[in-house]
Amino acid sequence: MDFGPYLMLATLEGAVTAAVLALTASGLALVFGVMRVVNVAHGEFFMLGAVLAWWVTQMLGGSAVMGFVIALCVVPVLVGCLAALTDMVILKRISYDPERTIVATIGILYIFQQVTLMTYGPDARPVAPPFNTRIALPWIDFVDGRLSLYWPWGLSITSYKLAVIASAGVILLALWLVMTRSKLGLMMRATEQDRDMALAFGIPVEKVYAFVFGLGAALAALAAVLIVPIQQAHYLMGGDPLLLSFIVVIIGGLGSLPGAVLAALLIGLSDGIISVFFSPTLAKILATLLVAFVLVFRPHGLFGVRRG
Amino acid sequence: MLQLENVSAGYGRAQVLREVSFAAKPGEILCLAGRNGAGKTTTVQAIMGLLPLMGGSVTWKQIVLSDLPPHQVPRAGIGYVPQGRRLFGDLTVGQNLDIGRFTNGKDLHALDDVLELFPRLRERYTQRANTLSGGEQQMLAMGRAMCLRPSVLLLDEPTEGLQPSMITAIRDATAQMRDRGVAVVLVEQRLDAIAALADQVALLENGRLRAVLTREEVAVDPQKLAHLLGV
Repeated sequence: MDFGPYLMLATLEGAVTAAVLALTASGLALVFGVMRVVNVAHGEFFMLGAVLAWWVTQMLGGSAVMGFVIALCVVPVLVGCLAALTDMVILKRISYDPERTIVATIGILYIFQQVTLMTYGPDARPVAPPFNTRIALPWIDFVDGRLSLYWPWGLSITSYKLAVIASAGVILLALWLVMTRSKLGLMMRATEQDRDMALAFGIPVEKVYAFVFGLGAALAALAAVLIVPIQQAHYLMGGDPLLLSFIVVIIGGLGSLPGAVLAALLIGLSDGIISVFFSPTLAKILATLLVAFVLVFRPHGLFGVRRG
Repeated sequence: MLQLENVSAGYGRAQVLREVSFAAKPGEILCLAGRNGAGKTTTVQAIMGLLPLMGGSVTWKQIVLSDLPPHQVPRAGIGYVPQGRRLFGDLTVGQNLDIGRFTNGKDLHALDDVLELFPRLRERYTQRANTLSGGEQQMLAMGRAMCLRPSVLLLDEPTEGLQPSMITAIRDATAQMRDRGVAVVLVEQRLDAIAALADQVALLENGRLRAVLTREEVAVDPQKLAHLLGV
């Protein structure tokens, strides 16, 4: 395959990574932005999403489409409720103190991970995609002095991967609409800006915190349900999304949703392209180096706001 | 009547207020006066439930405000204009006013009243709050609290750092709230404002209530208040 089609293939693979990463990182950015909590357990909510998706599809059996659709609707709600409960039982009791919440979420990480190992086991298990047609992609080349369209061998993508990209776009658009056009979004943004003033105007800040922690986890679980037909569910799968989400959130600007989405595109696409042309390890090394540069030269990230 | 009885409060283990008691009546303005660090802002924050009480109680119409979670205090009809305005700067004027209406079921008349009182806010309705001038921000802080249709209004130095025309507008709005039967607690350091607006003056010193003066006492002997304030 020529360089052009190969680059297009790498870009599409990167777009799938970017889509899933944008969802996961948006959850982390939302939690940090509103609550000022660094949620080290965020990757485990991703893992729980994938494992529960496997469990739901196995339990229902029958049609792959039906099982997957039910998992897509139910699993994020289950994980979100579990996260909200975690917030009320643990984080609220330590008054959302920044240092103590980091230690607490590390503890939560190990609890979820080990309980999953004890119940689900150490195996990686697949979930059947609801549809998986391979779509050949065309390429335009300059032949004999004119443009011609042709289908290079190997230049293709599955319909499911395209659906993952489109779904992530729709979910992020819905999240943006909730944040900017709804009363709930207004409450979250007010709480983010000044917790005490939010209280002074009747906003139940503790309920907002529980909701936001649940929503952040639900977004991670949603990303996991979307990716599990491609990646398989495993009890240690939360590490990479957590690392990449932190990278994205730092580059995008702590707590900034638009920043997280743009940085996810940057990191996801570069990860896809570098992984295809060189190696996945080099992609991670470059992403981490980028974080180092951002921290040195623009500590509040691309879209972050300096806070007093 | 808003009643504070033996209220003690502070920050962490540091106690600032010590057994402060006073009452603010509907249709009256009670000025909280005192030097810097006397505990005026702490008193207001304690009323709002933003600081936990170390002792005593705050009641309004048989409701013990100090027993309520902080977000329930505004639902009891307590409006708050904090020192330094503390607007939601990234939100628009309209969104700030909407937040003020959360507790009264989005009362449209409340919004109309505020926009009538402060027409400048109508002009700036879709503008972000942190792009307004200082005076406009103060109008918005007042308007946000008035959107709540409060029965008690707590104003913490609302004219601090404003130009004279804005000071007049804010004082007029304060007097208008009093005339509507609202119990107003006004934290103020300016003697002219105190003399013009106050029905009572509660004087704080080192976290304790030193004296409560009536309007008549202030009018008869303004030097006494000046002396007590140390100006």
